[in-house]
Amino acid sequence: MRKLLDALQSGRLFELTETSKDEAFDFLGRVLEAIPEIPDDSGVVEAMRAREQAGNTSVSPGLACPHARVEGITADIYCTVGWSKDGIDYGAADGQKVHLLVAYWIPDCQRVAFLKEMSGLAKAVLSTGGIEVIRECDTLGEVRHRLLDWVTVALNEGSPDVRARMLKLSEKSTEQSPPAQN
Amino acid sequence: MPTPKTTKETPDRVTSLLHGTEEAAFAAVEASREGLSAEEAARRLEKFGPNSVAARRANAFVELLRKFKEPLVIQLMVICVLSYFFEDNETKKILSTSLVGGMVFFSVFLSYFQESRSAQAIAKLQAMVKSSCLVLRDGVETSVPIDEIVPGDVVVLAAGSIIPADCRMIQAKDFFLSQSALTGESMPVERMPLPTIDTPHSAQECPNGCLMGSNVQSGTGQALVLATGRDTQFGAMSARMVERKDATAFELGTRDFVWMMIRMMLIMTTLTFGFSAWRTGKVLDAFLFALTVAIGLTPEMLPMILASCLSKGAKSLARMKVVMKRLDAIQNLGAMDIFCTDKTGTLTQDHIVLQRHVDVIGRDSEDVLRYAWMNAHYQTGLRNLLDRAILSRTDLDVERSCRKVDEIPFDFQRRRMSVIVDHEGDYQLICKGAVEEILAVCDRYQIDDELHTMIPMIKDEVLEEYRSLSAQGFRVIALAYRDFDRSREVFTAADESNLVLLGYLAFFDPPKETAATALAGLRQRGVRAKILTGDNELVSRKVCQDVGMPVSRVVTGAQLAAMDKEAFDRAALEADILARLTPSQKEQVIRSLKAQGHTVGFMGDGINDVLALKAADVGISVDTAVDVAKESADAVLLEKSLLVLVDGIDEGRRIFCNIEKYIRMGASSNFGNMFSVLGAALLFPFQPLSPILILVNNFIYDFSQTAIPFDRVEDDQIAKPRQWNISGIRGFMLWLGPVSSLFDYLTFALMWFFVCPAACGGSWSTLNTDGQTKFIILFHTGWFIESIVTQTLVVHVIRSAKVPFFGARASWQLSLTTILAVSFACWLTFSPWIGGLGLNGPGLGTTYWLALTAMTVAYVTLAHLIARPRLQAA
Repeated sequence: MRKLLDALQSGRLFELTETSKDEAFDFLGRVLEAIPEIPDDSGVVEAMRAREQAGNTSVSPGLACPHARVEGITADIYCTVGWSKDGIDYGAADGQKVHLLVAYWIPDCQRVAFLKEMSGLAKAVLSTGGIEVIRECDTLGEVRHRLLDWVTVALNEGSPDVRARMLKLSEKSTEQSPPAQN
Repeated sequence: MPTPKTTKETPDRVTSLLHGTEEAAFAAVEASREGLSAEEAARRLEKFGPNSVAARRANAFVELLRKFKEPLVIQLMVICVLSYFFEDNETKKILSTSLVGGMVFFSVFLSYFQESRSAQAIAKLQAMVKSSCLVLRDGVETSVPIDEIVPGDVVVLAAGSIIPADCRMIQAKDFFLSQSALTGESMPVERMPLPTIDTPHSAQECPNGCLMGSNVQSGTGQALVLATGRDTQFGAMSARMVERKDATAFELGTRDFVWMMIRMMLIMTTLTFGFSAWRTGKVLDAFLFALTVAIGLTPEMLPMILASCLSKGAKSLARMKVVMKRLDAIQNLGAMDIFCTDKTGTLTQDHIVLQRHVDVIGRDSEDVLRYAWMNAHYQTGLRNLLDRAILSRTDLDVERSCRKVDEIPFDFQRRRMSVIVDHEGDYQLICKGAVEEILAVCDRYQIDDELHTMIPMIKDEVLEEYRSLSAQGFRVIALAYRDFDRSREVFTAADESNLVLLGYLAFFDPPKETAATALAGLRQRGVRAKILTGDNELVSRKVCQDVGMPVSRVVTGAQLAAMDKEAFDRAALEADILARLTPSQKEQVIRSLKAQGHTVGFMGDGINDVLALKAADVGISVDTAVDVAKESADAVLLEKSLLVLVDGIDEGRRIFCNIEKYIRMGASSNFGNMFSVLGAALLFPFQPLSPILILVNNFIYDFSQTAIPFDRVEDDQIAKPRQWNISGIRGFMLWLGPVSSLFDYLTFALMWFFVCPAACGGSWSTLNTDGQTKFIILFHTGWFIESIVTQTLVVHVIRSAKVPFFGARASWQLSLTTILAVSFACWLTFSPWIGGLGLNGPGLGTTYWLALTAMTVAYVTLAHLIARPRLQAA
């Protein structure tokens, strides 16, 4: 959730006036491309669309995380957030409109961080009553507060859910050390 | 014993019965789940015949007679018979008849011996499908011989059973089938009863079908017999086995050459007979002379040279642990320009290994290996290839700290299995199975030692690793686990829920160590490799990648099936990988490549490769192949190394180079000599060489060629595929023949105008009968020696494009036979005991010998200049 927090602190939360998924992708992609740390001409919008074609990126009702994965670049993850009061027809499996789009730019070396971020976000949304709190917002400021609440919940409750306790077994020693030879 | 009958129950019908409803299948074979009654089974056995594959016992005598239809044999037999009846001199009759008859005998029996293998292949097929099977008769499980199984029977199957007929599953539990012998696919396939199949599949791919020739790896089940005997897929394949192997490029080339020589012989013989009869007025003499000319034009030593060259090659290859089952395949090995192979067991080792054990984002994970090992170690069902591969990767010390609590066995609905382990006070359920099935029961995933919530979008993300591994050609299964309270005592399949996805296991059939080097060797030698496999394209790509084989186009069997002939031919030629092919499609691809002028080799090891092995110019198998594949192959590699294949190609090319030397000599020298005879018959009032001298000339010339199989071959001559080139041979004949003939005519002039008149005391027209007889003998002697010298020396000219004797030297054996042949011919003309042949060496005089020396040098020089560009282009 730290990447979402970074985005909020950096002012990368916008109200989406666009009503279509394509237009929203164009806008959020351009915002990501404007981040100085993201290389020019990195094709963020195209990469987001390609990922979307492979599978819908809605995370939970009303929330989606479109993202662009890039290979061969060592950098941090960046995200930007778009809020749509009326919702965007996202083609989600549940058929509901999406009100919050958290768009990520993910270098391949940051896959683990991205998965953790996603799991943390999903967990926070579930534990705070879902997208309803966002749907009820009227201003961007309210949205920002609710998102900070999510971040707080996630950071307080902690992610991961739990630490794994794995069975630890050693290999059989197959042979004795050979005796020293004279 | 009744013979198997072919009924309307064709393999296509089996396919449709597998796709339709179960009720329709029962109705089609008029049966029920309780099986047949004994009386009904007996009635059907009478109707359909025994459940055995095609068996046509080859009639040895008929096969032998068939060999006499070969054109060269017919030609020699005709000459043999005519010589016997028309020759009035007993000695000459016996000599000529024996010589020609011996050639017939040799030619016929050599090729007959090679073809006796087909019947053996059938026997091997039959041997694979004998023994007994459990069926429901009158509702009771009864053991019956497999050849008494009839359509409508319900067979009872268990691990280790062989599938006795083409069947449809009606009941199954943990049922795995190995179809490797049928399809080349080494991984066991799942089979289960299904109400219907909506997507079209081949019979081998139908998930509810089990076909004759496959066997049960694990589980139990019952299946309805749809077709038996020759009506099965296996039977159809077997029926094709009795068909003769197609004529190979070598056989076609030999046949073309022989027919060219026969056509030439017929023209020359007819003209010689006409001219000789007209000039001498002696019709019978002219006829016998023409017959002798025919023998002179007949490449009578061809079978011997072929057999000798090929036997020598076979011995060399045997030392490399390559068994050549058909001698002429050695040449095809050298001529091969496309090498097709079924990857399983030939390029790959045909055993599954655990290649990677990774976490959900593709990082190597020891936890995954350890958990997979415990799952495989504690499961009590039949261990399949995957379990064995996992267990062979490590060996954990479980006895001290672990205890198996329970097991949830595999079934085809869940497509996963679990063991529950007690480890230091904790219970853990460890589950492995098909990736989709495991993911369906996971609500968390693990990265490092952290557990995170699994949401649908993350499932897509973690599936990416699975897709990536699959795209790399791995077979992938997933691994998950869950902790349980120790109070639990009984576990069920319902406990496979809320699991933690731990990672993936990627399996692979690795390539043989020598495959990459061997394929590189093939490329260097101008041989293009192609994969023709029943396996999928991703796995095939992975193999190609591992052995460094470039892949520009991949075509699947389904795509080929939808193509017209033109597109099929183009795809067959362009594609480097042809995947998911049925046995018939493999055969079609090989035939297509052959029809496009290529010499095609095919290497395979399963029953599914048999048709392709037979269709190829050279079929190659390996020591680990099923017997029937080895029987159908022309060559079997006994060593695991594929490098012997490259050595075999070099050896094949060396052998063909030497065969070509004989062909070129035979085509050009014989043609030149007979062209000279034809002119002489027209020009002179006597025959330029007596029939017996032509035979002796042939004998000496043939003797000089017996060392050709032992001759050296230059490296540049084996750098690329060597194929029959009839137009090239014709070019040699049309260029070198007249050159040889030119020097014959010079000899005629020398003898007619200078040597004979000087020795006989005047020109032909001024001499009396005795004088003319002496003139003729001297003329014969002069041409006899010149002919032998030029014919035997020309082998040193055409054996290499380099300057003869200096740039490239022949083997000592060939040099020796050349010297012996020339010396013997000269000695013959001086020998007092051979006067009966009508030769007079002492009468030739110094002028002749000096002129002969000069002509020989000039001939060799001119022949080299003419032959060199043609040899370089060959």
